[in-house]
Amino acid sequence: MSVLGTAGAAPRRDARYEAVRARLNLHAVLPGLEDVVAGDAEMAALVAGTDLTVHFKVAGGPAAAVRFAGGRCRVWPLGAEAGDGGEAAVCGAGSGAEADRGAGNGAARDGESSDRGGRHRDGEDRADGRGGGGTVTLWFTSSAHLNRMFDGSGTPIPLRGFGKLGFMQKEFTQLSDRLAHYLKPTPELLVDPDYLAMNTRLMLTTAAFAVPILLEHDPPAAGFRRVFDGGSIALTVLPDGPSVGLVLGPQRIVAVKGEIDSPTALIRMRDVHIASAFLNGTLDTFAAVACGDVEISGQLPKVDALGLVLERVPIYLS
Amino acid sequence: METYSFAGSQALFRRAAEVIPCGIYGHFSPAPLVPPTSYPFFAVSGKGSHFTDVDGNDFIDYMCAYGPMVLGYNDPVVDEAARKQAEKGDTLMGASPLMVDLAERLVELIPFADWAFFAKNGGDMTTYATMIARAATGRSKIVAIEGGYHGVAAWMQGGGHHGVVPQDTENVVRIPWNHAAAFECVLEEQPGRIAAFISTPYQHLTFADNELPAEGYWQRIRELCDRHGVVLILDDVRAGFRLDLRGSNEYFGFRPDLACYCKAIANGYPISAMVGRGELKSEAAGVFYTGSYWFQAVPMAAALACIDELQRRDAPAYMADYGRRLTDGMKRIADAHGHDLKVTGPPQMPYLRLTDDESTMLHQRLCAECTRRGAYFTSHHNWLVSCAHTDEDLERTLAIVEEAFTVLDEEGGT
Repeated sequence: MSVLGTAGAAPRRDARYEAVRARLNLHAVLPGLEDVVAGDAEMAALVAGTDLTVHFKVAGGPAAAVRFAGGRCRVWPLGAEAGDGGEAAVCGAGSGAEADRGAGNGAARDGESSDRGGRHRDGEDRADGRGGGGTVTLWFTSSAHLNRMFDGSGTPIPLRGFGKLGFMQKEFTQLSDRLAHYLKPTPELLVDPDYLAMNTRLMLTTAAFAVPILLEHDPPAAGFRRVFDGGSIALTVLPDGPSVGLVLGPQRIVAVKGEIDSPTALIRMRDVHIASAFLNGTLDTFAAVACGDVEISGQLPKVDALGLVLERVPIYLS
Repeated sequence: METYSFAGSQALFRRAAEVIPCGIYGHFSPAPLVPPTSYPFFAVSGKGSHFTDVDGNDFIDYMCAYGPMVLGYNDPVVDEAARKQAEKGDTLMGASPLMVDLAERLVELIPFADWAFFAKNGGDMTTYATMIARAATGRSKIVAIEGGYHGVAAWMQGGGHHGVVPQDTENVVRIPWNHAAAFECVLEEQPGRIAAFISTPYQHLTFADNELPAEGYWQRIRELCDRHGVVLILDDVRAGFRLDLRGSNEYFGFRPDLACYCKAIANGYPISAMVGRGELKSEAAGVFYTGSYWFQAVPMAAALACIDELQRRDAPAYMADYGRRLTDGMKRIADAHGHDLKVTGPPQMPYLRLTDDESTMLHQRLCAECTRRGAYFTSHHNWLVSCAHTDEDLERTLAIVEEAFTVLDEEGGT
C-alpha cells in the first residue's frame, strides 16, 4: 500500500479528477494541520496566540474550516457545498459520536478522537464553522484552482478577513509548508525519529480520511463500497499508536482518529518503521503479513478492499 | 497436546519473499491465514490424509491442497498408473492415446457429455467455455453470479483489482445467486446479447456461508437459457467428482451445455477437463485453444486411474459420511463450550463459522489453534475432505477441536 509515496496510473486531469482531488486535499490532507500544531513545538509556538478561523470554499464544491484557538488547530468540513447554500453532509469526516450514531458500532474512544463535523464538544465554534476571533474566507473558482494552491502554484481569492491576510501569508504559509514537509518523506528524513513519527501519523490519518471520499467519489473505489457494509476497521501502529478507525455505517463511512471499540477488522503494524514502510508503499505487504510484521484479522474482505481503495490515494495526491 | 512451531516455514518464506512476488502467491498465499504465524507455508511430503511441513509437523489436511487431493496424497493406485506412463514418456511429439481413452471415459461417465477437451487449470476451461459460447451465439456478454470465482483471467476478476481494466469486465454482467428472476431481467433488458450463463453448482464463496440452489432454481435457469439461446456453463472445478461422479449437475438435477472440471479429476496431477453437448462440438473445434503441456500423458493416466478409484470407492458417499461425522462432532463440541457452529454447503465441502462472532476473529483463533495442534483448518474457505480421511483422523481431529475450544475458554475468548 502507498498513501502518498508512489504514483498510480496517470489519470486524465479532468473536472471529475480535480473534484476528487480537492476533496482529498481539504478533508484528508488539510486535517494534518491539527497534528502538526499538536506535535511540532515550533509550529505550536507559531500559532500560540492566534484566534482565527480560515474557510476554504470551492465554488460548487467542497469547503473546510481551519480554526486556530487556545494553541490548538482544528479542521473540519463545512457542512454545505460552497455556493449551494444548503446543509449537505460531507462524507468522510466526523466525530466519534457521529460515527457511533451513524453506524452503531465502533465508537471512537475518548482522548484522541477527532471532531470534524463542525459541532465541537467544547463549544468553541459555531455550527456554521465560525469561531470567536476573526474569520478569513478564501474562495476558489474551481476544484482545480484549489488544487493549484495545494501544489504551491495557485493563489486564492480572499473574500473576508482582509485584515488577517498577514497571518495567511506568513504563519499559515509556514505551517502548510511544514505539513508538506512531513508528507514528503525521503530516506534521509525518515532517519529522524521525530520526523518518522509525524510522517507516519499524518500518512495514517490521510489514508483513513481519504477512504470515505474515494468510496463516494472515485469510480474504481466506489466499486468496493458494498464491501464496507457494516462494522468497523481499526488501523493501529504498535505498541502505542497512532490509531485510526473507519466506522462503516449503512449510509456513510466515518473516519476517526484514535482507537475504536470492538473493531470487526483489524490491521496492526508491528512498529513505526513497519508502519512507515507500509504507508509509504515501500513494504512488501503480503510478505509483511505472512511474517507477522503486519497483523490482519477479522473481516478480511474489508481489509482486502481497503487496501485496494487506498491504492487510489496516490493517483490523486502523489 | 503438543503445539507446533513454524520457524522453518518463516525462514523459508523470508527467502521466498526476496525472489518471488508475494513470497507465495495466489491461493497458497499466507495472507488469509490468521495469524499466518500459526500456519505452515511449505509442505515437503504427504501420505493419505496427512502432509508434513518443512518443520516436520504432521497435519490432518482439511483443505486437500484446495481440492486436488481427493483419494489421499501419494495414492498407490494413481501413482502407479502415473509412474508406468512416465516410464514411457510424458510430453511427446504427438498426443497420447490416453487422451482418447480419457475423453471416452468422461463421455461414458457424465450423462450429458458428448465430447471432452483437456487443459491444465480450471481457469483454462472456464475461459474456453466463454469463447465457445461466444462463437456459438455470436454474442458478447456473459452473465455470472456476484462474487462467483471462475479463475484468475482478467474477464472474471472484479474492476479495481490490479491489472484489470474496465474493458476486461465490461461484457460480464453480475447477478445475485439463487435469483433466476434477475437473470430473466437481464435477458429481457439485453435481448440477443447474452452468450452464456456461468456459475458454480452452488454458491461456495470465501468468507461467507455457502448456499445451495433453491428448489427449482437450476431448472428455471435451464428454461431461460433454452428460451433465449444462451449457453449454460457449469463451473464444476471445485465441486466436480466430490458431490457426484456424473457431475454436480446430476446432484442438483439439471443439464448444462458445457461443464468444467479440474480439482478432483487426477488426485493432484495437473489436468483439467471440459465436457460438452454435441451441438457445441463444432464450435469448440473452431476456437483455437492450446498450451505447451496440455497433452502430457502422465496426468491423463493419473486421471483414468483416479476416476476408476473414485468409482470403486464410491467416493462422494464416503466423503459425505466423513464430512457429516466431522461437522456433527464439531458442532457438539462447540455447543458444549457455549457456541453455535454453523455448517453450510455439502458435507464433502463444508464451510463453518461461529455465529456468535461477527468479526470472525474467534473463528480465526479456533482454526489457528487447531492447526497448531495438527488439524489444518482455514477460516476463510470451505474445507474439503477426501477418501483418505479415516476414523482415526476423525477421533484425533475432534480431540484437537475440544482442546482448541478449551484454550479459547482459558484465554477469555469465549
